[in-house]
Amino acid sequence: MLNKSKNITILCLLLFGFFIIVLRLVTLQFLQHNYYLACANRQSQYITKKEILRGSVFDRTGSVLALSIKTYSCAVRPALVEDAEQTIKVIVKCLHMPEKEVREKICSTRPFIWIKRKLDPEEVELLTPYVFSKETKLAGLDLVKENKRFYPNNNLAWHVLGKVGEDNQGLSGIERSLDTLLNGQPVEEIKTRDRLGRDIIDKVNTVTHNDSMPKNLYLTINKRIQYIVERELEITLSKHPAKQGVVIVQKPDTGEILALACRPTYTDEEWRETPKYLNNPAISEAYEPGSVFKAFTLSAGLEERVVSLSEKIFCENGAYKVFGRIITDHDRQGMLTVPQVMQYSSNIGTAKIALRLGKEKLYQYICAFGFASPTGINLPAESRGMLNSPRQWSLDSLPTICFGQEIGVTTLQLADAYSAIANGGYLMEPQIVKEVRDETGKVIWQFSPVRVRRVISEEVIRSVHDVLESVIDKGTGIKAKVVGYRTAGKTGTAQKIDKVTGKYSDTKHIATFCGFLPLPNPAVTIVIALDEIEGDDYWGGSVAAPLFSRIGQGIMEELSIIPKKEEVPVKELKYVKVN
Amino acid sequence: MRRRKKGIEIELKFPRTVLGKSIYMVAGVLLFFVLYVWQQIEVVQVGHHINDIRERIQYWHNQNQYLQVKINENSAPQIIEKKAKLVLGMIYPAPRNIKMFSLKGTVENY
Repeated sequence: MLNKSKNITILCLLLFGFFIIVLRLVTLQFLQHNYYLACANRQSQYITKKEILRGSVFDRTGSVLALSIKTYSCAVRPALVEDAEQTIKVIVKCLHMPEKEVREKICSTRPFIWIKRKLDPEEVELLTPYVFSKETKLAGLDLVKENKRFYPNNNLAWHVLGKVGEDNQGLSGIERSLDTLLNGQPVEEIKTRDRLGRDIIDKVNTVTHNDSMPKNLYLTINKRIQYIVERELEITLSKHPAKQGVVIVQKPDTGEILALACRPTYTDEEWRETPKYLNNPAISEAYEPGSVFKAFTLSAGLEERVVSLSEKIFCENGAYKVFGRIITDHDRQGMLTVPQVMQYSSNIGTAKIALRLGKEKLYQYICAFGFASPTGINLPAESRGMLNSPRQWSLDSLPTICFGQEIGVTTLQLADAYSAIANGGYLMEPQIVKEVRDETGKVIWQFSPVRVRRVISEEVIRSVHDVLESVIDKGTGIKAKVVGYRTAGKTGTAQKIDKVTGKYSDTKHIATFCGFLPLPNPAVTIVIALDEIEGDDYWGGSVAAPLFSRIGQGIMEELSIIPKKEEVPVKELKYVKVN
Repeated sequence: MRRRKKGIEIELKFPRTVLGKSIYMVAGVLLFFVLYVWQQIEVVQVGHHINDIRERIQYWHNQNQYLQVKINENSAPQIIEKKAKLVLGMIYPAPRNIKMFSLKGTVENY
């Protein structure tokens, strides 16, 4: 009996104890749940930005033009450094930096200082034991994770690709114009860590939306054509030094830019010191195009039937006074047919066609060819060019605008307008981005050609093709001939306005050449502009035209376009060493 | 079966007495908690292991990316041309030596 009562007492005590525990648990788990959960989260959870690599950029064939990889930056907290001499020695050895610079940084009074940003993987490997290993760790030295942008082809398509800043923000080129797509939106992660600071993965709560992830860009650029263009441009500039050189290669039927090269390019130190170097002169600098503009006046004249190809125009023996201004030609010419006006690049002949057209019509055609408005290409800082409305034109504006004076155009506008002549009369919207893909490779946006408008009828275009072909066969553009292919084009040598005197300079010129090949269905339009060529040989026909020929030859081979049999060249190309 | 120990007689045969039942119940609950905690520790450890593996994957992925950069650097046209000329002694062919012909059915892709 006694045993039984003892048992009951013990049982009651046990149950009471158990009840107390359960009661406490209920209090903690249910009644004070939110409070303790918040306390626990404060201790163990933290919000961090997800490390996302910037999207890559490829050319139209899928070859990498720009990509990011994760790397480290070396930093130091000078106050925490214990063995300064050893730290300096290690940094100098691993990062190959001047000792003086490292010493200055380590002896700095600032709490945190970067030693070198975005190290190469080899440098990281050398430095890792001094930062992460317990035995050899140097106090105060740190490696901070960062992304580094690589351009594996060095300066290839330098102005198109652009540059990114230290914090991966696009500064110029496609890196800037499509920065949002390449960078994505910052994604925040809520992570849980244990008492040792290690992440516990089962409680990771990431807020990720697919739309915010970085995208990869496939450009319309063809890496090999881009290389041919840059190589030939450099060869020309080494023979004829100039302030600047720009070449654009465009597919006339779609408006895709196959190559866009500008020289000079700059080192990282140079463009950081002078950010204006990052501008793309092909789209952001407008200049007076000179005689290459005559093709548009001719097209307008033929379209409006104010002139015919068989007609002869008197070119006033080289000097023509109109509205008080004397227009001159390079050579004295008398009666010239319309094709000859183009072949000899007669300013007077072109002015007479323009006078028949009238200023309203000429203005209308200039605008229809896409001048005086941005082309809409996906690159930053595009200039719309410069053209006053006809009401603001002076009396002599009409006969000068028609041959490329008193109007400012960009090289891209010229290329696009010549493409309109090349493709049968349609102005196309120039494109630089072919595809946008997500991180899995799925295409989320694809380029499709955009026809802006028809500018010239097909019948007139055929006549213009013949005239421009004759410029290369018999006229000023003879050095632009691409042997084996029917080629059309126009030379131009424009005087620049002297900023001091406000008058046309006798020493500063822009040599241009615009053309397309092979006829009758051109595959490429090539536009060349060489600014301020040094020396006496600064003509479009003698400097820009041979460059056009070499680029055209290279592109035809690259695109495997078969030359006409009877025109297969017999003269060998001279071997040129590339430095 | 009965066992006498220090004056307390415990019924060991299941489930003869209330005390026995209670002890089994408490033991069961405790065992559950022990198993639960053990499982949580295991999960956390596996988590750490996964994290380590993820970091290693990331490391090798980075290495792979870096090698991609190196491959692209070495296959850049200017590098190939330079090596072809300087190392292999190749020269640019004369246009007449380049024979081009079209294959039926090929797709022009540039």
